[in-house]
Amino acid sequence: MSPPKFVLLSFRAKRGICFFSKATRTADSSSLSLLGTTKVAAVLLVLCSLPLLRAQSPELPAGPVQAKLTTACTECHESRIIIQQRLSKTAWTKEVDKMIKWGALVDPVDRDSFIEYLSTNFPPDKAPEQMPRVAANKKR
Amino acid sequence: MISRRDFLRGVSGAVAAAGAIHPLLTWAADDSAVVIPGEEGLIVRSARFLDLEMPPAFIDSWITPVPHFFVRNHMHEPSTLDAATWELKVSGEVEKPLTLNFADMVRMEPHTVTNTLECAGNGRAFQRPRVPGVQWQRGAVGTARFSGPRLRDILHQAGVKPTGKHVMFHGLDEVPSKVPPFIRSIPIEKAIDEDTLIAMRMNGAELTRHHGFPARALVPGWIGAASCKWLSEIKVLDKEFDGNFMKPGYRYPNHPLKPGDPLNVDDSHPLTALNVKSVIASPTDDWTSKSRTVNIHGAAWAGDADIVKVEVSTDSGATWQAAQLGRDRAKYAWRLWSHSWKAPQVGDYTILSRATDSQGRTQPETADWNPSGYLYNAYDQVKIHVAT
Ligand code: HEC
Repeated sequence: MSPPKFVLLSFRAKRGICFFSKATRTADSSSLSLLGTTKVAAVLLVLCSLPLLRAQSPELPAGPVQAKLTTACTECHESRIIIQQRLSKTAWTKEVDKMIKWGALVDPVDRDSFIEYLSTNFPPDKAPEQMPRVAANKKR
Repeated sequence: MISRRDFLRGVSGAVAAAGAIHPLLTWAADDSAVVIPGEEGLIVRSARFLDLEMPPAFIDSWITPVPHFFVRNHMHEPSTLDAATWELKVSGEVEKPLTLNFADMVRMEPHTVTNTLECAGNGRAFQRPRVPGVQWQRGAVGTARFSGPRLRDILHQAGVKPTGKHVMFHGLDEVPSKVPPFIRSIPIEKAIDEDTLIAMRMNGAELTRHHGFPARALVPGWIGAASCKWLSEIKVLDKEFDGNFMKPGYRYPNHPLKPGDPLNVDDSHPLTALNVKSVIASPTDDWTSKSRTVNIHGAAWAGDADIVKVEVSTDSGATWQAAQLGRDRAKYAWRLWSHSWKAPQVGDYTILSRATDSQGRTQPETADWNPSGYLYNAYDQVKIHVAT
């Protein structure tokens, strides 16, 4: 049994632009055949089509540190990881400090305003966030 | 286990009562669907890193189809996965370190285990006070047939030295910046269990990328985090792996905590087997029934124990009726259950479910609180309206 080829696409859909961070690879990189290329192009088209763009990460709420926080905090993961949390100021402080330790680039002068912004916008008593669904092929 | 409710009652009756019934949470009827090839209808908790939850209504078959199976990634998925160059290294406290390739793995005798895989954080969204992490509700769980060589056959080839006490798994996921890598270990006793696998197939097909292609650990009955995806390294250690995802991550307090208290890592242990738990697949929360007769059904599981009983209450817990357990069963798999109920009159009802297992554990009214919301297993609850 010969190992299967595993074509892999790594994509990032960020802020309305659809681009690919990595080229496609197959088991035998020299065999990126015409068929493969066509398939890749088809996938690319699908990925860049409307549904994906509509489902981009939501914008973080307006506020004095919105832009800085978006840059610092959506580098590794999207905003949904942040906006689904409902945390106290103490808990947000721990989160921000953990992320800084893990490599988030936060100017020390911004740390407190980040915590303030997060605990104001995503406090424990706010209603839970409604999350989107993955497109279904069949109606459930 | 006896101490849990007594503890909560003793410490703070008010807190226990407040947490007894989780608040009404409704599902998004969202038309802005996200396209993720190979996945279908799942709730997007996060698209990057990918965290997808199964809506409870999808629990309508004993085996969960792969497109409906929840996905939990801690990091970026590997950007290259190539079966032709993939290797699995086996090292550490072994006589003969090995490097196995895809063909070597496929040549080994396969074994199949039907396993209910659940993320340790499933139900975290219902914990009060609220805790950080992916806000899973009911559906970070699924049941599949996993197959591949037994881990113990691989360890046997390498020859574990008497000093080998724990087995560490490391995958190919890509770690951003200074984030600690996702590495965890399991004790040797579990590693050499006949049902612990290096799975290469799921429900009869090759693993998909989101489920760990080409190979993943499958540690049956244990929290999902034990079953490392995109496996590239197995290392036998003389002690438990020391790293973020073993400590302080994925640890559970040795003694019940007061809700809101921090975890003392020196008085905690790594999570292993799953809790006893049931969820209601149907009716769903907020549903309006146009008939007095309501078919209540769901699934129940208990890690490495067996489900012996599922009970349903249609009067907020005043009385309980035994549900009927489904015929399909396997050592580490959930049991489906159902209960047909006739509402006495038009009105609003709170339906609860609770499971009991072969170790004598019963789902509690209030789950033990812990700062990461692990192993949430309070009674499941849906509120419905009977309209006619
Ligand atoms: C260097 C990469 C990186 C950056 C930058 C980063 N995070 Fe994270 N974040 C992570 C990782 C990795 C996880 C997931 C850990 C897991 O799943 O176990 C995570 C998870 C989270 C979570 C979920 C709770 C948890 O602790 O798992 C929150 C909330 C969060 N990040 C907030 C932030 C905020 C706010 C910022 C900006 C200050 C930020 N992140 C920047 C890597 C990063």
